[in-house]
Amino acid sequence: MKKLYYLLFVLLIMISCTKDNAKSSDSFADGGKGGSLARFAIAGNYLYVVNQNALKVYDITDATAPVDKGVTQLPWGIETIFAYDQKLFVGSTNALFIFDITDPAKPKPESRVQHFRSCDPVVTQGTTAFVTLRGGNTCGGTLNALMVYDVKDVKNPVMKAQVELTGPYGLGVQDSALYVCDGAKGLGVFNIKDPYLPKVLEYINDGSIYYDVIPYNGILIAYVEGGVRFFDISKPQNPVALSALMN
Amino acid sequence: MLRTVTLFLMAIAFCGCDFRLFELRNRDLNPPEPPPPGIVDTYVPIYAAEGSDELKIATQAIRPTHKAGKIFVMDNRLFQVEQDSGIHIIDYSDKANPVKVAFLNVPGCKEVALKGSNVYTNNFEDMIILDLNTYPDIKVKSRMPNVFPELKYAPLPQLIMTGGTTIRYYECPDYSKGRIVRWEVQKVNNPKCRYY
Repeated sequence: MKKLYYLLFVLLIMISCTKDNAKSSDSFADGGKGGSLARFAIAGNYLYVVNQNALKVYDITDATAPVDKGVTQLPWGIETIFAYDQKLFVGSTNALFIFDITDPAKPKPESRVQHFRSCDPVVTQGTTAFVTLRGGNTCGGTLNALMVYDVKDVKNPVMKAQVELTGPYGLGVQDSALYVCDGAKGLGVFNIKDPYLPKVLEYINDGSIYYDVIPYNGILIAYVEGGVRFFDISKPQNPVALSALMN
Repeated sequence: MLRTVTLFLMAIAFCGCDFRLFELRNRDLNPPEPPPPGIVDTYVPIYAAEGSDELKIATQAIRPTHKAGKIFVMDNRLFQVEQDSGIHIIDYSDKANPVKVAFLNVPGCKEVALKGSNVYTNNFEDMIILDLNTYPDIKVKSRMPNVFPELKYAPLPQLIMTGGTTIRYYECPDYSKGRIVRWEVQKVNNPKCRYY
């Protein structure tokens, strides 16, 4: 009997672990995964699309026959969308918007975090949102930084950390590792065991300009100028270059 | 004599200052027309008429990556946007040796996502859904017009440096000629549009 309880207990832990794993993954769609610069986000049977000033919702239960579920107008400058754990994180040139999609057809605005004018993709893990801000000509502003927000209370995100960067684009997160594409400086690898205290572990500088990354099944796929690069991240904090496909 | 020369030099100095100030003010109010540049390197829009082959959505042979774009991964397949022209399909089952297997020609492409065997992407301003079940004979299963109004027109070319000189001129687009599918650098006599 004791053994049975023990087995049950182990089983329970396993189930909760699987659930956790599923949670730490982002913008999944039937086994597929997009990057942090995407304007499409698929969550369950819904497709969310952002153009420059609107969030559009489609029911894609029948994947080839989307049903228009409506539009939410947003301020100008929307750039990215990221679906995670019943929430949508929408990045614009001057703010981060969070929507609740418990009712997937009707995204409910929860909060808006205003920040300096810049470009800003977002990824999330657990109750932490990681945002990169990129200043410069097309984005405006001068701040180049990684910002970490506690989004436990989605109505009231709290800024927890700010790390200076060079000129960041997309980013990706896998367990205790955060990968930040820092333009020509290369791919920054951060230890986020304590997510509010991100620590630089290394910069992978192989001459490529890094734009975005997708951690996926133990592999990190990077969109770089001119093509893609693959890394083994079976040890997330220690990416090992596997290959590149350029031209 | 010395005094005269000094005065003269001072006069020139002040005069120079005045001129510069005047010029500055003048430029702010009324930028002068630059002289016609003659025959120069110029961005020229390449148009494709509606219905032309170049605008067809179809599977094509693999091609080199020029303007790498966003990525989406599904199992052992990676989809990478070739900005403004389509999607590379990459097989990375052998992670040490990923290979391109096909190119989906989708003019105006910027975005890509998949659900099952359906590709969600954009054909200029329209969102379209492609069904890969019948690959390589792909069909546009659905088209939602004007989801991305800002992508209706190909963006103006970026200022680029070529061998130390910057290309500042471009032929003014005439959208009645059809879709701009790309920009090419050509020698043009006195192009009308330019960056300042």
